[in-house]
Amino acid sequence: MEESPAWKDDFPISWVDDHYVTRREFTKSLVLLSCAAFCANGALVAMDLLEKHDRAGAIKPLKIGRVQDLKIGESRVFDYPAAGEPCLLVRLDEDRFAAFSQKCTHLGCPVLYRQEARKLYCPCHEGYFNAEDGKVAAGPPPRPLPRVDLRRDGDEIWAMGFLK
Amino acid sequence: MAVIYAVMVSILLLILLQMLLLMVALEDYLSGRHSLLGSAALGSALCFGGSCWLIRYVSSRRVF
Repeated sequence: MEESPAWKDDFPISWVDDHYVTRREFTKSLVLLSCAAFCANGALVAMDLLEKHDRAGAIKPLKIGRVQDLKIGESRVFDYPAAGEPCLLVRLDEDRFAAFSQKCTHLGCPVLYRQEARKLYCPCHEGYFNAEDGKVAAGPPPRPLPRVDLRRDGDEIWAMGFLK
Repeated sequence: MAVIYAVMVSILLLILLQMLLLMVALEDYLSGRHSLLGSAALGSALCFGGSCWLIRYVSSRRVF
């Protein structure tokens, strides 16, 4: 009869038993998963509260460029009212400018200006907004883009806040 | 034996509900509406509470 090796006597723990998971342990891990889902929901609420806290201060006017920086039909991105909050400035005509938040009101993708259609376009889900007033022209976005209040001071363009 | 399976299925259903709530909350947050975040978090907390109660029930009854 074959003798078992000496190491088996020294380490008598079976690997099969090591990897065995009871139903109770599995159920406990499900509760951990439930906890993780709750934490994710809580994190969204916390981020929302932080954003509201950051926005609590008055929005200050900001110089965003000069008239000659943009040709007719061109657009440029600028951060307003704070860094990391992109907006899009569009030159519609010789004397007409419009600026909107660049975050699509559907799921937050950045919108782009399409000169040939005179529309702002969200490539994620084919959303379109009028470049004149930011209203939804087509696609899934539920609300117009927030519009930036612009003022001209000589050849300077200033953002004064968001229009209600 | 049936009790532990019933608890496992119940917790799985609660997790499924939490995932749906998380999806709704994420969509609400990304769209900038921010109107359903509190309700979704409350619902998720209730589901988590239910899961905790179920695991405590299993532990106290010593069912397998």
